[in-house]
Amino acid sequence: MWKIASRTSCRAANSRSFRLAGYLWWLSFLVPVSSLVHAADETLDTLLTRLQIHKTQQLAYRETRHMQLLSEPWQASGELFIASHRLVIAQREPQRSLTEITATHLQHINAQNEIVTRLVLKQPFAVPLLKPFLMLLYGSGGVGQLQRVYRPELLQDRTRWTLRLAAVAPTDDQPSAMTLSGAAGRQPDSLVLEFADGDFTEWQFTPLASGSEADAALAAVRAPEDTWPDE
Amino acid sequence: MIRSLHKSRLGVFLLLAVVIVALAILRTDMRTDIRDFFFPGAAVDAGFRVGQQQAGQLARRYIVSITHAGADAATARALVDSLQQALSGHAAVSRVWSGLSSDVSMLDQLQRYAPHATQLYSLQPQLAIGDVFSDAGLQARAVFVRQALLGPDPQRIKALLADDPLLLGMDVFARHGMQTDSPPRDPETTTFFVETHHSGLDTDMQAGFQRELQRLFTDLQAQQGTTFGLEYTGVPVFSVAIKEQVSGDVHRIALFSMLAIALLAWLVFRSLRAVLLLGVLLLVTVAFAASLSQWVFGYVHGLTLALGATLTGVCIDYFIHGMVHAGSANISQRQQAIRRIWPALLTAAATTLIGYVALSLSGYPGLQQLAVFAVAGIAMALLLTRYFLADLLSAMRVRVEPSLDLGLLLETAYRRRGRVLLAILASVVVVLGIGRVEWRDDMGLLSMEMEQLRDNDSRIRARLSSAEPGRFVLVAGKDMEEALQRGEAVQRLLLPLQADGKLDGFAAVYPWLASQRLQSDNAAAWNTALDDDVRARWHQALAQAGLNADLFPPLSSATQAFLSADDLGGSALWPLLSQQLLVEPAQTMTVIWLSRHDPGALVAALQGIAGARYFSQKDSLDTLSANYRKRAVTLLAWGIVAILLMLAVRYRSILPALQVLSPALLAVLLMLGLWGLLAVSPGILHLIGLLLATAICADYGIFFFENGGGNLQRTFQAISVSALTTAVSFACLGAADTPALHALAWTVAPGVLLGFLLCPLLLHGHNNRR
Repeated sequence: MWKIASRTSCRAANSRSFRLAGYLWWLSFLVPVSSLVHAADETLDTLLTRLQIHKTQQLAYRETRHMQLLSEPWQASGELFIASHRLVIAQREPQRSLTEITATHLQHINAQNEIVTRLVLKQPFAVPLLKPFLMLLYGSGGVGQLQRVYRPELLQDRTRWTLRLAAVAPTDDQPSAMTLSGAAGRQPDSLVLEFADGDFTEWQFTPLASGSEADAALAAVRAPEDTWPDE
Repeated sequence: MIRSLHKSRLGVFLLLAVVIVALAILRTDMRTDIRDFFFPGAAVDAGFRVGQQQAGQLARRYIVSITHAGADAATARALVDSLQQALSGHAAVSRVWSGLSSDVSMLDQLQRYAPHATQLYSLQPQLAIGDVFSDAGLQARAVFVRQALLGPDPQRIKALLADDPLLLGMDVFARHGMQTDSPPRDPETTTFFVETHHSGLDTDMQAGFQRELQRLFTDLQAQQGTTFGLEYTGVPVFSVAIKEQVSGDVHRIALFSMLAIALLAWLVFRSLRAVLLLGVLLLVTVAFAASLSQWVFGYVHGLTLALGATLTGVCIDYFIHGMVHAGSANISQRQQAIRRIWPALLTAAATTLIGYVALSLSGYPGLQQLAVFAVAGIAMALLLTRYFLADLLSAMRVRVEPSLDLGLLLETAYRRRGRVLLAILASVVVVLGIGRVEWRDDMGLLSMEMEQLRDNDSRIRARLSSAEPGRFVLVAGKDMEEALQRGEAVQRLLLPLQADGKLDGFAAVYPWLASQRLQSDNAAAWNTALDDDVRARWHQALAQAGLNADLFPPLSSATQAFLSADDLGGSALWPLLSQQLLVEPAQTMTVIWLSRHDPGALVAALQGIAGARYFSQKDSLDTLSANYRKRAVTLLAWGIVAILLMLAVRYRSILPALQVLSPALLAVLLMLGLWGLLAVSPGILHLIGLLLATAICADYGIFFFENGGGNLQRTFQAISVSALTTAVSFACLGAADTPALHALAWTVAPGVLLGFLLCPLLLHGHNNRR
């Protein structure tokens, strides 16, 4: 009796385990499905809203510049901080440098801690090199404003979204096209900026932190000779 | 008949009084900048014009400093950005920026300069081109080009390379351009500039803007929920503080002197009506003087008003003299009493006016205004005394019988032994003291003491490396080319001073504009040195730097199309550059702004460069002040001679004229002797004070000497009351915060008392004989 009872309880326990595993198995199907449903629902409007900065993000980045004047592509890496009032590119490799972009200025500090570039921005965050990207992050005019300057095209499949912007009136000093993409429902992880002369720059992003943790890391960022995050 | 005449005169007086006071209150535009008082309107020195222009522009600027020691960088940046944006949109603000370099975006300008880079490259072309075209130089340029391409704006760099393949323009502007006004990066403070549309001396508007700045900051700070510190400085901050201090002085002195004179007058006359009458007469006198000065000059300086108001010390003498003589007489005899003393009043007024007119010829705009103020005030006081005082005394039923009686002084204080002792004492003071007097001409000593504001200003400015206001190098030439060439010669001398730490930085016209000769020399050096070997080595250097050398534009010869000032007109740079170029029919001048520097080293370095001189507005003003003071002393001496001659004509002999003036002159000598012994360094305002004291004491001498009423006791009584009220009213100036008014207070009050006490001593014998 005891043995039976014992076997029965064992069987029951096995049965509960199987049921749990079954639920998890089914759930594992549901997650991508929900992403798919989410991605399929993404419109340009919702994507633009989602890209707006609500809290600070800290990303690891890798930048590759393909320029005809360079004998081979140039690579740089470091950390990118996207905050509500500024964007900071803390480059670690190949040399340290710090680029800070606010609504009114761009300031680039080199490895010797010298301000080597200082641009006055005629429009908020209108840095020529990153103009379309910063417009998505900091622009507040929505699709209407975007369409006055770029022809947007949003592509989606089950796993990724891709936004391509082509300049309505291309100029030499700004990207003529931009391709921004990311996993479905996620923030972008890839950016390509193309110029009319054939040069282009690729950026790869990996999220590191967001919110207060990213704020704290950003607060620790100083000019190249001073303390850097996690040092 | 007499009664109706009284009434009609009273009516005229009341109408006149109301109109004059209303005009003074409604139309007077008071200025408080001390430069308006001391600075010559049509300055002959171009340095002053540059300084004024610089001062005018700087006077509209605030330096705002946000301290965020406890906040993280992101929060601090957010607050600063929000504050800058809010200020940019403010109606009173013309611009907000974080340093001179952000006025003009460097990369924007480089495109304009790229075709001229080889012509502008160096102040020493032969030396520089050797360095650039050496192997090391070319390799360094190639590395620089690569770094620029890998910077934040590669597209702009690619565009520059077409005209300036070595990016020499970037190098020359990095070496020479805009060194003076960029805030250093300080992790705990953020400093920026705000410029207002209105003048820094528009104190009402600036005070309102400062309140608004404080409110915006407080609101933003509350939104952020973090505590920041806000500090700001600039000329508007000082002008608002000065206005507040001057207003405070005016109110405080007016209140003190009114109360003191009223109390004294009441103690002497024991009649509130007499006090009231005196107050009304003085008010009308000062109001008329202010209105006439406003009409003549278009404004009244606060210092004129303060100094001019002390004329009440002179004017009150006429009223008191008239009141004492007429007030004690019967109503029917009052006009006669005034008529009897009228010649003495007229003579006294004439001597005072001669002194002021002499002083006005010294050239100080402020003293010219003061002279007009004095002439108007004294004329009005005389008219009121002569034509209205008797009727006003009757209409207000004022009977004056002064309770003050210093007749004892007449009888006892000046016995022979006492007079001898006093004469010896006076001689000792004069002989020992006068030789020790050291005049000072530092205008700064006349400025307000605002220690807290100055500390704040120094602390904020220490965070900047900005051009020092009022000190610069002025380089003149017969035309633009010569001025530019000489300016470049000065720059070649300034660079070693900078390297030696004797000059923090400077901003000159070069490299934004260069002389045709320098451009030609640079181009020639480039073209001579450029050959196929250089091109080959450049190609190699580019390849070594990891650049695709074949795609770079080849090095080409420099063009002969030189950059001129006309090419820059209308550019974003021109508003800055035009402040450093003064083109006049006879000459052209360039200005080099200086950061912190050693003036001695600078002056020594500039010796030998034709047309170049170091200009310090403060030093020049002090020199100007010394010149004015010397001229004023000469003119005063001539003025005293004129007074003496006038009195000699009146008394038909030089001896009585000398005797009348002797109390005033001895009082002046005693004051100078006392300053020498007490180591007081007098300045221009002490001189004005001496003039006032001389004028007042000369009046006492005349009143005493002429004794128009025929009653020496009554005359001395009138002079005693006058002297006491005058000394008290001037002593009240000592309550002011303005050092200038202190100087006046402690010159006139003792001077008048000395002059008054010397009258019976020096004139007693004459009256005894009479």
